Amino acid sequence: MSFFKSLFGSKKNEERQIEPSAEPQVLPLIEPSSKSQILPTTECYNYSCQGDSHKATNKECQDYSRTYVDKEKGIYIAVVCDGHGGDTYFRSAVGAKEAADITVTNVLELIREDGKNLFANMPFTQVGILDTIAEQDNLDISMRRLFAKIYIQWRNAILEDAKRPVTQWETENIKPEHLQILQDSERIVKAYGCTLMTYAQTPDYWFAFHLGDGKCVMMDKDMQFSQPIPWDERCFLNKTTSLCDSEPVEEFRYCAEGDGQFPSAIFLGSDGLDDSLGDGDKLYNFYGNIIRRIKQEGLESVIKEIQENLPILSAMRSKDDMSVAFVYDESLLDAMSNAVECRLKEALSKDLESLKSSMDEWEQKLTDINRRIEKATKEAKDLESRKPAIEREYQRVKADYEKTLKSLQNIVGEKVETDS
Amino acid sequence: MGLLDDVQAVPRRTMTLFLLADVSGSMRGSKIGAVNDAIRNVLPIVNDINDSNADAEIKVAALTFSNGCDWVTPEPKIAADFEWTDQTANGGTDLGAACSELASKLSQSHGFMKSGSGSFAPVLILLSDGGPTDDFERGLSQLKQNNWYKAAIKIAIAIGDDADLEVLAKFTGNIEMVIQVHDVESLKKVIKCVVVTSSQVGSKSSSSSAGADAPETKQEEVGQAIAQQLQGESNVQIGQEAANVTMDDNW
Repeated sequence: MSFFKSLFGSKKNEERQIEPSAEPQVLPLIEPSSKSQILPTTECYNYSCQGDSHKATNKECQDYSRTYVDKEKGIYIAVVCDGHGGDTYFRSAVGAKEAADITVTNVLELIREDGKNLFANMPFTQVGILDTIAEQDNLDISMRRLFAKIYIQWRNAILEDAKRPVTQWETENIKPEHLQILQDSERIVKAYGCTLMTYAQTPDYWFAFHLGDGKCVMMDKDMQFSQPIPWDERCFLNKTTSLCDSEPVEEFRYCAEGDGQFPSAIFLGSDGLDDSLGDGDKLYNFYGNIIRRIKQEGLESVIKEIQENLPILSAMRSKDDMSVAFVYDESLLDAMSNAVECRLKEALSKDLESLKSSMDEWEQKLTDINRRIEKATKEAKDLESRKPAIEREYQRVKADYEKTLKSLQNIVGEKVETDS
Repeated sequence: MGLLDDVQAVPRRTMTLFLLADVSGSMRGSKIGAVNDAIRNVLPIVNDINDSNADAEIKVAALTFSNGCDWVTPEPKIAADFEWTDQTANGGTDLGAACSELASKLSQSHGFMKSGSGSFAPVLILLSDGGPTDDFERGLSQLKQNNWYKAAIKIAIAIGDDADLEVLAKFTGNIEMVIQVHDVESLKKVIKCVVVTSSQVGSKSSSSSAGADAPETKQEEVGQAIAQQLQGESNVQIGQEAANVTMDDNW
C-alpha cells in the first residue's frame, strides 16, 4: 500500500478522513530562532513570465512562482510551479498558483511544528524516487505527510475552483471534450496539473523538494554548482510527473540538511529555462551571471534585467513559460562572484585552449596547402621554362614526321601508278 | 557582461528522425524503387522544415534491415548533408536485430542522442512488407525499456498485404499508427506525408503530463494529422481499417 493510502486510507474515503486538516491553514506563528542573527543577509526573489508560444495564442502564463520571507525569524521559502501546457490542462495556471500558496502554508507549519527536531544535526541527505527508506524513518514519514497535506489541500482547492463556470476564453479555445473533464470528479485534477519545486531555509536547517521537471540548482558552501534534489528519470523530454498524477505523494524527491551547513545560493527554474539552456554548464553560467550581476549592479538592477531578459530567452529558445526563484546569502556575494568568475575564466580558458588547438590544426593544414601550392608553382615554373625547348623539339619531330609521311605517300602513289 | 551572454552559443534542440527500412528480398522491384525514390525526394522538404524552424534542428538517421541491419550513415545528419544511397533488396527480415540496434543508439552516453534538455522526442518511422524472420520480441523488449523509444513518435508503414500488421502495431504501440499501402504511388505519397508531418509536429515545443491516461501526445497529434491528409486515398488504409478490411495489392 502506498504511503498516501496508508496515511489517509483508500482514495474513496480520503476526503472524509483528512477533513480536519484539509483546509489551508492560517500562516502559523513561529518563534524567533536564537540563531536568527546568523543569516541576516539572506535575500530572495522570484519571477515568472509568459512563454513566447503562449503570447501567440493569448494563453495566460501557466507558471507560478513565489517567495516567503520572514527576516526576523530567518525563514525563506521559494516555490516554482509549472502548469502543464496541453489543452487538457486548461486550468493549470490556477493549479500552479494554488500549489505554490498551499505549499508555503504547509512548509511554515512543518517548520513551526517539528522542523527543528526533525532536521537537528542531520547531515546532507537526499531521497530519490527509487531510494529504499526504512519504514519508521522519521524524516521520510514527516516529509511524505507534508506532501500528502499539500496534495489533499491542493485537490480540495481544485474541486472548489472547478465549481465556477467555464470562462469565455475556455469556451472559445478549449474543445468540449476537454471541458467535460470538469464534470468528472475522478479526472478533474488533470485540468489543473502542475509541477512543484520548493526550497525552505531556517536559521537551523534547510530542505528542498520537487515533483516533476524543471531544475533546482545549488551553489554549495564550496561555491560549486550541483543539483541537490535527486532526479526522477521519468521526467524526460516533454513528460513530467505531476500533482495531477494518481499517486503524486510517492513521486516527490527531496533533500535536507541540519548540520549548520547551508547553500550559498539556491536557484529554482521551471523547464522553460533548462529547455533553453540545457541542464549543465550553460544553465549554471546563467545563474552564475545573476550572482555576478547582483554583486556588480545590485539586486534591484538584476531584477530589471531578469524581467527584460527571460521573455527574450523564451522567444529565442524554448518558447515556454519561464520561472526563476532564488535565495542567496548576500554576505557570500564576493566569494560567490569570485568563484563564478574563476569558473567562467576556467571555462573560457578551456574554450580558448580548444580553439587554439583547433586553430593550430587549421593553421597546419593551411601551411601544408601553401607548401603544396608553392611546390606546385615551382614545378609549374620549371615546366614553363622547359616548355619552349620541348615545343621546339616537338615542331622539329613533327616536321620530320610530316616529311617522312609525305615520302611514304609518294612511294605508295608511285607503286599504285606502276601497278595500274 | 549580461545575463544572456552565453545564450547565443546554445544550439537549437535536436529532433532526430529515424527511418527503419525493410530491404529484404520481398521488397525487390517496385517496392524498393518507390522507397528509394520517396526518401530521396522527401529529404529536401525535411531540410526546408529544418531551416525554417528556430526551435529545433532536425537530423536524419536511417537503418536498413534484411539479414542483419546497417546504418546508412555512421551518425544522424541534417537532411542537407544526408546522402540516401539507393538500396537493393535481398535476404531475410531481421526486424528484431534492427530493434536491438536502434535501442543501442537511442542513448545519450553511447548512441546518437543528446541530453533530454537539449532534445525533442525522436520520430521513428518503420517501413516493412513482411513479417520478421528473427527474434523480434527480444529486440522489441530491449527497445521498450528505452526512455527515448517510450517518448518517441512511432509510425509504421505496412507495404502491401503481406506486412505483419500485428508486429508493426507492437512497434508503434497502437494499431492506429500503422498505415497500410497497396501500390507504388500510394507508398511514395504516404512516405512523404508521414515524414513531413512527423517532422513538423515532432520539432515543436509542448508539454504534457506523464500520467498513463494523458490524452494528448505528439504521437496522437501526428496520427490525426496524417489521417486527415490521407483521407480519401483509395489504396491507403489506416489503423483498424487496415486490420479489418482486406484490399488487393497492385505492385
